[in-house]
Amino acid sequence: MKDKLLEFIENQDRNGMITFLQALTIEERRSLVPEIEQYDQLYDDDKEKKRAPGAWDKRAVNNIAAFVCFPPAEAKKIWRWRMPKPEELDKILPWYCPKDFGDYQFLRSYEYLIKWEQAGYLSLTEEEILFTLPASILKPIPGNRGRHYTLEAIEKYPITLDEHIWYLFYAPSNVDWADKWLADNKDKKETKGNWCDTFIKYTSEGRIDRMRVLRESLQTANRNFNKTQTGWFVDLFMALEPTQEELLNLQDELFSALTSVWSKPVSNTMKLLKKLAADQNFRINGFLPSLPILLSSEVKSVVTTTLAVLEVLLKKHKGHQTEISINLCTAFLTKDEAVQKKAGELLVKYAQPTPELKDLLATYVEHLLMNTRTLLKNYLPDTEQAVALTPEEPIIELRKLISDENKIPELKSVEDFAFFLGQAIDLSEPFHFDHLLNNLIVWGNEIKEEELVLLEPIFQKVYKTLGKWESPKLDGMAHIALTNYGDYLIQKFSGKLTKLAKMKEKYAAIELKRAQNSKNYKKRAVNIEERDVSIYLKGFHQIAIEAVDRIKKQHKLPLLSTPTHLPVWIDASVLVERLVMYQQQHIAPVDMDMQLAIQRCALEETGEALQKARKQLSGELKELMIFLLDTSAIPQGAFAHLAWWATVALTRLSSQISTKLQESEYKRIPQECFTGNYQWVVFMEDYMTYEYNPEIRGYDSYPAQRAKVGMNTPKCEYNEDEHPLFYEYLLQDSIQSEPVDFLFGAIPNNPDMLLSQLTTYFANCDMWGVGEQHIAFQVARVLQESNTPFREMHYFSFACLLLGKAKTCQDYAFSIWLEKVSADTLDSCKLGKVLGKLESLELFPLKRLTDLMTASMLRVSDKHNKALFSMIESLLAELKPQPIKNLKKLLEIYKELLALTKEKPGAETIKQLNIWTFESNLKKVIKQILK
Amino acid sequence: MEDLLTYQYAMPSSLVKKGNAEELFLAKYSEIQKNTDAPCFFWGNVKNPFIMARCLITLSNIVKSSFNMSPFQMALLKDPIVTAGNSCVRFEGFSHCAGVYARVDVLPDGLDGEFLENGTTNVDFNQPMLMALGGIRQNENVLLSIGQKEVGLHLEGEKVIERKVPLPTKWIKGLSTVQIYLSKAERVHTFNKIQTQQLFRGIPKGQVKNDYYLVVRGNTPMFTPVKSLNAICVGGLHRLRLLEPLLPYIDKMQVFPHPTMQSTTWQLYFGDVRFSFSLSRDAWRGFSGEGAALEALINDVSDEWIDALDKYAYANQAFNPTLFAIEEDMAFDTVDNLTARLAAMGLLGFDLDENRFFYRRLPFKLNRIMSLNPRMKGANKLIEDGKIEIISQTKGRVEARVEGSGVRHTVILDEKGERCTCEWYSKYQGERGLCKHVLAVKKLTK
Repeated sequence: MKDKLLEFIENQDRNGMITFLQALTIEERRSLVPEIEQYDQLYDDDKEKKRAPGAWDKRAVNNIAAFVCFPPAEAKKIWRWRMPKPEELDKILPWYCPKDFGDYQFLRSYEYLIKWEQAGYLSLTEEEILFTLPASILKPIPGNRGRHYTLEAIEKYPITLDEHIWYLFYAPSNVDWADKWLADNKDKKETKGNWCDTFIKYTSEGRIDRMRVLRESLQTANRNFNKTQTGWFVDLFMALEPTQEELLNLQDELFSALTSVWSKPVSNTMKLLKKLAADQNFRINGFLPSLPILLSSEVKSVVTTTLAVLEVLLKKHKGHQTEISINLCTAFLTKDEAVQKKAGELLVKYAQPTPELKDLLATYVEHLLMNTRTLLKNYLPDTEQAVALTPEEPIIELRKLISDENKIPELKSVEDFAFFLGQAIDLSEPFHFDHLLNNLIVWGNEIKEEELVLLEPIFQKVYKTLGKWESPKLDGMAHIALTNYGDYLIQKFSGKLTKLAKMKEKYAAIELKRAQNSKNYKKRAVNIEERDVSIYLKGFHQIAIEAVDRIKKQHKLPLLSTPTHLPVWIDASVLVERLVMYQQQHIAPVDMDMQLAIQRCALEETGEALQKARKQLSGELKELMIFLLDTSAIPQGAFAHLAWWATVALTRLSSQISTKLQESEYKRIPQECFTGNYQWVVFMEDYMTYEYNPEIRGYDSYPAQRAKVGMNTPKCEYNEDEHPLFYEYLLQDSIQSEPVDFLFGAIPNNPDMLLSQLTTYFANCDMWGVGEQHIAFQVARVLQESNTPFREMHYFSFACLLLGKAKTCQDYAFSIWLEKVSADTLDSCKLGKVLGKLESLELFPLKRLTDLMTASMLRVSDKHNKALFSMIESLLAELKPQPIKNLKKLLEIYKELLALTKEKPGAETIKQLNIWTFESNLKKVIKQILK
Repeated sequence: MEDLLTYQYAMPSSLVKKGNAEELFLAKYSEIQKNTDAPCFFWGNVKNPFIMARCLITLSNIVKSSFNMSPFQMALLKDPIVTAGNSCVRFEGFSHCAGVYARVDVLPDGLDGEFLENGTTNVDFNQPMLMALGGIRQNENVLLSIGQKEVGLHLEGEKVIERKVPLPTKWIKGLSTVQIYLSKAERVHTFNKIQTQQLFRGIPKGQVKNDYYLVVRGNTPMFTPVKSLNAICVGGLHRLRLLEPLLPYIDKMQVFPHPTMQSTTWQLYFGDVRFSFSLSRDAWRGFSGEGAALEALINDVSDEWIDALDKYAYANQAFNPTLFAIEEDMAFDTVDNLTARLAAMGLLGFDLDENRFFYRRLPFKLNRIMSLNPRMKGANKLIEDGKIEIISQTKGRVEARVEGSGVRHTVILDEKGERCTCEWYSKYQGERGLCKHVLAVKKLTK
């Protein structure tokens, strides 16, 4: 029997196997189980056998045997791809149908499921029907990966059209996907038809109820389907071409569709209602309650169609004019000129300026555009003139870099230390890494034997994280420092840390196994100095090495670079105090620690620190700190640690040191890094674009051009042999994928180079993915937290954020604009110039900016209006003679600002406008501006 | 196997034309139905049926929505619950993911009818009824009937509507937890209709992953991703869009943040109807997992108290813990935290405008509610297994070791609050409720 089994397998004889198994008794089938399992195992273990020709088919024959011979409990667990094919099951089920066959994991196909249900082999659930029915009209084409359209399966059993087909309207399914699949199919001739066609066919033949299809399609608008599927049912409804009479009968459903969360059913329904509005059977009372929702819609087409419908209704139903007029005011929430104009005209034509209407309109005054105000002059309350054109100036809080609010609390006890380690090891805040190292130095040797238990969970977490496949954050430096600390404790309290020793042992075994399995595996449980880290982390690595060394030497002097205030600032006074401590103890600062401390020093209100430095420090450190803290100071003294002086120059953006540096190895650092005057350019790039061609089921390629932005300032080139600066290490590697907030946290005073690299990156891909948007968000955060006047790269990043795809980043940029304009710390002309440069080649769609202006930037306050006016003037000056898309909208906003600020167009702007004056779509608005 | 909750309704809810009026009949079902239950909780006119209908549609959309679940899970809808009594009717529901809570309060002046009985029940929200609700117009005459007034109307032999859904564990847990958040929230802003509509227009399209902050600049409220002092933090801002269909009809909106921004409540006012909408800290966080109620559950509440509460209070009645203590002859120190405990057990709801709890017993078996807190169960197990060692207990400070898997955790209760060396505490720093180790130590040393 076993030989027979193997014979069928080896011959790849599926039918033979089925006949063979049918003839066996249950006991005989069970006796074959070990053989079947062994055969399967053989293939799993032997890679050669697995890849041999015919292996797949042989296994498929074995799978048939497995299904029939395994006890049901085992067979149920067989994976779907190891189950017999549906056509094979179809041959088996008449003589062997296990109980609960429906629970088996076979390939679901509607054609067979319905057949087997009718035969009583299983009972179908609604979910299964929904899951399989959509693909039932796609039949695989033999010898081809394609499929063709067929109604064979759904016409076979009446229940499909009587019942199952309606399920598609009640719960989510793949019905839209099936249609898309057919649309992409290459054999168009063969595949003519889709689900839409299917419904059209059966409704026209009277096989299914046409009115029901229409009604149910409309009702899907409120059934919590996703956007695509809701849209598909709208398309189905339209494809059925409902008649005027049918639409009149479906008014309840149409009105109900107006409350859909998706815009497609709403805008589509409004188009239909536009046709119905004039009909005498149109139920105006059913429609009017939806007006507040429709007129406050953020989709412009919905508002404009509603206004068009209202125009018809106002003409026809005089009795409803007051109700409609009151609702019309809602349209003024939309700051679109055309919408406001239309709504205003309807009011003027059909409504009387009653006190009630005037009162109502008064609440919308802030939202009315200047032209609308003129149009509705008689409808606005008399006191309107007294109403300020713009709201009061928003109050903006000014933050300080160093304050009690953002002070990072210090630990007070060993208990605090233990709880802090548990929190900091996740490295969820940029300062956690530095504080973890520093607290190890300060508190690591304070722990007593009886307190060691406090650390057990931390070490467990550290080893657990190291044991995962993915590398821990920051190349595992924090975790490795802790394991080193653990090793030190094991030694210090010999024999007292059995649990920790066991954890260490267990982890060592894991590493050993991994090292045996992979030659490239790099051990993580090493001494910190042996750990290879990414280039950008090398500065931090040196600090971590120093920290572990100090623990071992029981030397509690704190690190210089430990932040004192959030996010990563060091209070200048504290830094001076730390340096004084170092001098008193005759300890030389560690190179990278010193550089990082300089980079993080808060250069705001530095008087007290400067005084302390002058009084309490001496030698090079004194001169260095004076140069850092006093903007008027000139570098003096012996430059024993040139790297520190270079770091100070970079931190406070001073080129005064450059003469000295030019003679040194640091001449390699681009001058722009010391001045902030980076050079960038927008250009057109040639590239090959690809487009999917369904005819060939492949991609066509053709040359195209696209706008790109690039930096003229070269990147810092670093050379390990030339004593790189912390700053240089940080800007190496493909930094896009690194923890951006951590990087910015190392150079908060001079992030310009990082801004240039990151902004160029996210601007050129228009923040296309979550990762890029995260980077852009971090850039926005850095700009917002910056207390210094914006430099070139700040403006560049800021402009890209205002124009970029991610709304969150744009909102962030808007908030920055609001604050900076209020505080008079933003050069609007400069910002406009940068925006104009980016828009001169349309690197981003201008619409994003005009939408933001309309929705938020316009009418914040008089000051903001003036800033916006200057910004637009500078932007326009940068544009090319060929008008860019959406320029008209920008000019409309400019026109509105002229009225609001009572300014006159500048000479440059007039020159530009005269160039565009012959453009047909701009002619009118330019004339209005220049009148 | 997952526990099932079976809704059994005598007939489906419906909106039917009866003479000049429409009758909104809501079929009810409670698994803890009292024997004395009258067939109908409320029967009478609704003064603003249009607004109530819109609010109920929004409530049903919230119940249907999910911000972190698959479509299949979403298909298993839970029915909202209704509390009728003390002259008002409240409809409550949760989003499927338990991160959004909503309640429609129809206040006494908004109703004109009789309360034949008081209590809380599930009500059948079916699609045809919701569709019909969409058809209710302003100034229409609508009768509301929660339960069936005349038993005779129910035809013999008519099929009972039965719907099985997996026991909505998160839902029930969330319903009890959110009341504790509500009780701590305070009103910070009031906006008129136009301000509110303008504010909502600023919500970015699609899913919002970053936190946003509600700030008021000049006279204009706005959402911004920039954190600032006094700003109200809102995670998963897009969830607010569920309220959009109601905004054109509101008189005003008030915002009630939790003191540590663990939730925000947005209350819409429409004359005699109120719509409360509470958001959890983030879209991926349900109220159910927050553990705010856990501390309240450390002390057991005796069955007698629950019976007493059942006898003494009626639905929607304001709950007065002091009075309750006097009636039940309880020591006043026991009354401390009593409201939170009862809310955590699903016996109380919270009214933000009145700023007090009201009696409302969730229509689920109490043992279900009590069995839903895995952390509490874990804590009890630690105690049962003797895994807690109290190292020291002095006034104001407790130190204990708790045996964990492979390590010993240290729990310290002192003036700084409670701290534990476990991963849960390290990660959330107590923001999402106490860990099982702290709970166990607290229970043991109470």
